[in-house]
Amino acid sequence: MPEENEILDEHLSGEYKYGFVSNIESEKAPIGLSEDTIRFISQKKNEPEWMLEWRLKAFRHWLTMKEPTHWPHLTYPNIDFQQIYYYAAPKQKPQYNSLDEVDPELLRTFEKLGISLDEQKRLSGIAVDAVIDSVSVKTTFREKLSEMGIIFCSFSEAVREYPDLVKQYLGSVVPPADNFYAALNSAVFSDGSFCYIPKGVRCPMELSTYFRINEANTGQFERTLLIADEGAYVSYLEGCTAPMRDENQLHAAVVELVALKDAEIKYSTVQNWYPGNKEGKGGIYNFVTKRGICLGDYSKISWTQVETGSAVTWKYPSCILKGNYSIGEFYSVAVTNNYQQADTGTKMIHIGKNTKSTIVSKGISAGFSNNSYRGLVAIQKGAENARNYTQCDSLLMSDKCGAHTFPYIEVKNKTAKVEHEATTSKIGEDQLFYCNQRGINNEKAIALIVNGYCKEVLNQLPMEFAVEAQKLLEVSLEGSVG
Amino acid sequence: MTTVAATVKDKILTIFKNASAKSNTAYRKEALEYLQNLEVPHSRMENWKYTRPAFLTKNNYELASEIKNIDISPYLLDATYYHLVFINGLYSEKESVLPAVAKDILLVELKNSDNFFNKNFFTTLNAAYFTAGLNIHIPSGIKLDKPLQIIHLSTHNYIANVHHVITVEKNAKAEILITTHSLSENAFLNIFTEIECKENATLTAHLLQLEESESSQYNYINCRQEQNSVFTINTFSLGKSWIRNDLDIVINGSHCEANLYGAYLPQNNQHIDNHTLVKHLKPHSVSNELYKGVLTHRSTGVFNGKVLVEKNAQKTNAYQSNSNILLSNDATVYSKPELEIYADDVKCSHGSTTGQIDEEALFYLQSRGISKDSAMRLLVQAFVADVTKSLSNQTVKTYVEEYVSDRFMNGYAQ
Amino acid sequence: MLEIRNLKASVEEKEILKGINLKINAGEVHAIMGPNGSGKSTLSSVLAGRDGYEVTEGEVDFLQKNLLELSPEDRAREGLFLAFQYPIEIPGVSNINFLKTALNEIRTYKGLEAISAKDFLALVKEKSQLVELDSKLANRSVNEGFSGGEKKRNEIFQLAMLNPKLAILDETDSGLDIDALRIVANGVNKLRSKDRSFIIITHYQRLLDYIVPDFVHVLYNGKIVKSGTKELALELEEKGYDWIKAETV
Repeated sequence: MPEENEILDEHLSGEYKYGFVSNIESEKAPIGLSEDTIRFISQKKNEPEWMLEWRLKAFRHWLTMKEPTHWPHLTYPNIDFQQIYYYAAPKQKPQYNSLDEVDPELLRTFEKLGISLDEQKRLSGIAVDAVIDSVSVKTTFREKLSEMGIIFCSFSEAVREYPDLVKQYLGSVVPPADNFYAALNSAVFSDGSFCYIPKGVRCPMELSTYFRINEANTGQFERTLLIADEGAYVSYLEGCTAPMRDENQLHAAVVELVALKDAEIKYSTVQNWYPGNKEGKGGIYNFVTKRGICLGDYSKISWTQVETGSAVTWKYPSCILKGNYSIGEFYSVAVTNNYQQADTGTKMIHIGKNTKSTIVSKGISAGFSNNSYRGLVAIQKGAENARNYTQCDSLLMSDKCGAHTFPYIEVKNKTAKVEHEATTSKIGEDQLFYCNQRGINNEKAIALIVNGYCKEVLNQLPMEFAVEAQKLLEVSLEGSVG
Repeated sequence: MTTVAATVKDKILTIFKNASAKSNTAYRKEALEYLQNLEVPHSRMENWKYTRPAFLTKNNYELASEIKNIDISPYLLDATYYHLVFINGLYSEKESVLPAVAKDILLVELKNSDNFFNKNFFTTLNAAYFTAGLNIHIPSGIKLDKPLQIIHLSTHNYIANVHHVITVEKNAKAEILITTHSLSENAFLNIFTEIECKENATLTAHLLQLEESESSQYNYINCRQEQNSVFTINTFSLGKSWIRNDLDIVINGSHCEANLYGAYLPQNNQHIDNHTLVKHLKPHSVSNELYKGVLTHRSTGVFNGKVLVEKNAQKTNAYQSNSNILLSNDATVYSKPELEIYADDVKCSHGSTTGQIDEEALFYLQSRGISKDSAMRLLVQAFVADVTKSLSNQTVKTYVEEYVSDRFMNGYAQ
Repeated sequence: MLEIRNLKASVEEKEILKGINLKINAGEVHAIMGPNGSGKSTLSSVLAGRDGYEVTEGEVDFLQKNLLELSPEDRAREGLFLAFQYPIEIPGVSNINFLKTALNEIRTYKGLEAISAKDFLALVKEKSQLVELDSKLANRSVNEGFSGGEKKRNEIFQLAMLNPKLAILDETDSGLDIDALRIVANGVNKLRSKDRSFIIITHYQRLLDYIVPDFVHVLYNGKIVKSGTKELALELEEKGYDWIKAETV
């Protein structure tokens, strides 16, 4: 039973298993950030003039902004933005005509991560856009998708081949000046995924992007833009890993989702960036802006995230519910262990009439970590009959960690109904004992209980992801209770 | 500091330029130094996100120089209670009736205090320039036979800074009512109250904010509890004033109980902000918090409650709840119930709901022949009664319930 | 007393009642039976004036007045009482305060003086015995923490207190055990008189063993498809609703 052994091995080692470094030759921009860096990136990507201008404008605005440090419940040393490489790409040309042309080392990297870029080998119908460091290396199943009119490609390609779509929607949900990290991303983003689902099309397979940071001292700044036209449906998955390094690395991504009338977007993330070691050394700074807009009536955007990685997470996947009867959902499990810190949650902005949002957040803190939920529910004046239900629960696994809840509720319409509930508790000793008595050891019992605790969220994930997420939860919490 | 904020600060400080300092203690000097570096609160401060003290720029304030003669009988909640009267920030001995046991009561003349709370611009301004205050000291084992009412009345465009220190010694028990009134739209009352509940002490405080005109009030209460003490504070904002209440409770002992209840019913353009912080430092204590708001017209209600449980405070049981009813489409609610927890063996929960009167309940009442207006009133009363039902003081209970009943007697205001 | 002519009503633009005709004279007890989703509860909601039910056609006369023009409270004041299928809990409003308010508003409407506290309490005592309602329940908040049986008994108690002309019992038997059912039915039987009519909405024949109706109507797919006497109920019990469904196809 090789599979079982694998799980067992993972279970026993209990360490970050994606922490290897691949020996891939890469090409980097000179270290640091200036207008020249941006011109360099833009030129490398053969970008049109308007794209460069857009970047430079964002950069100039970024220079006037300050890092958001006063409100998040996070502490980390100041980041020196001049000590980061803003562009690193595998040296071989970034577009491949067939898999044979791909650097074998790169292929092995993705095989190791459990991501097969070989369409023949893939059992499940998942199309993958693989992004390593700053560049998209391979997008699978493109032809099959294009038959249905679905565009799924790297962002750089989209800029060149679908400039009208990109121009129309880029920055329309997350404007370049939205916040410090979004502005930074807008200036230096190197690649990412672009996806357009045409009117009335139900995307037949899960689309997914796999992010991998490989190079040292490199920041990753990818950008995802996903548009579901009227009546379209798409389920999108996102996964990420990084090597174990002693220094902290910055990941500042932007994700924009646009759902037109009757469209539905389901966006799932399993975030497993390197969290740093047991002493809190190293790990990724994950400062991400994710936002979707339900532009049309009856549209729906659903975020599901399982967050176990990163040293510091600052992330609030949000929904702007502009269309009448539109729906926003946020399902989240965030696990922090050792010295990890997470300040994560969502924003539900109700603008349209009869809009509905649901927030289910499960925070699990262990070790010396701090885990905060921060969420905004805003009912604007015109949002007649808006409904929100929020449930956020925190589970504490040690007496040295912290679990915090910071909801912001703003109501400007009397027909609104907003409910928020939160609880904080420790893992039930009675439950543990019950499991023990039935012959289940603590480690396994915790996994069982935590998985049960998160069920509501895990159930939202597509099948393959759910299994991965469950295993991940188990590994993340190993050794968390003595 | 932004220029606008700096201008406002200058304007306020100018008022005090010629203030004849009552004393020149190190305490005040320290406060004055702090004041130099403090900003007038603005909305970019996380703690003042939803509340702007815009009244500071609107009004021209002065300082009262003499104690006015005023008939205070209309402001007595119960004529048999002890009462202490402050008019425009000055203590009126003539109007006050003191309990015999509290012969220690005197006007505060703070020495170099280690209790200096430089929480913000207002508390520091108060420390530097307060004109009067009480040092209420309930000696060990004494149970005050009657409640004590502290009346604050503003009559004109004065800034009144009042500073009270209330100490309830071991095994002592007291009940204190703090009432605020204003006859002038241009008055600003800034009260700073330090409370200490020693071992096994019981203190019940009622804060009744009953401003007759649209004045402004900043109110800071800090309470420190030692083991086995019970502190209850009921805040009822029923007047017309702009209000910001900051309530900090530090539970520094085991087996303590802290109860925070509140109801706010802002109307017209009124703004009421309740900020509370309950800090659990020691294990085995309990805190309960329930605040309810009913909002009409174009009013705004803010609730920001934080429960903080430190590492040592295992077995803490903390509950926090905030509910609001919006009766008008122009009213706004900001609710921010926060939990910050560093101990694992605790039971902490909070909830917040905002909505309108339950349509099902309304229909049920109407189907029994009750008019819509009466049904609304009944349901609003029931909503607030959730807070008042825990009151043991019948005078306060009746006062609040009648206020709510009268306020919505002729239907409910949009 | 009540005459319904070609009543059609929709909920969220879906037509539920598709032309109801029904005439009820003073003192009569009418049972309306029907399978789930036939429109029984919609009919009671429309008669009581619940929001969200749109009458698209038809008329309802109640004691020579156009019922559909009246607000819910005025319908109650005119003498229409609905015993709810799911009585709502109203925390903080005591049963006593609630009933006193209701009674006095109804009296004011009829040009009567408010009832004195003494008379009111006497009335409460008298009527609560009718349904064996524990007097403690009277002091609690409306329906809060009541068991299913207590809630239904409280509905009949209110019926007795408010003394209506026409009482609609919406699935009053649902969720009741046999003892509670008997108590509720006894209460209702004591309240029967030549001036007061009843509409008893029920899914099962069981309740009609205790409250014997003068007429039985079968509601199916938004229409009354069959009317008869109490024997019809027995026939339904025996043959089930499929028999009716088959007949109407």
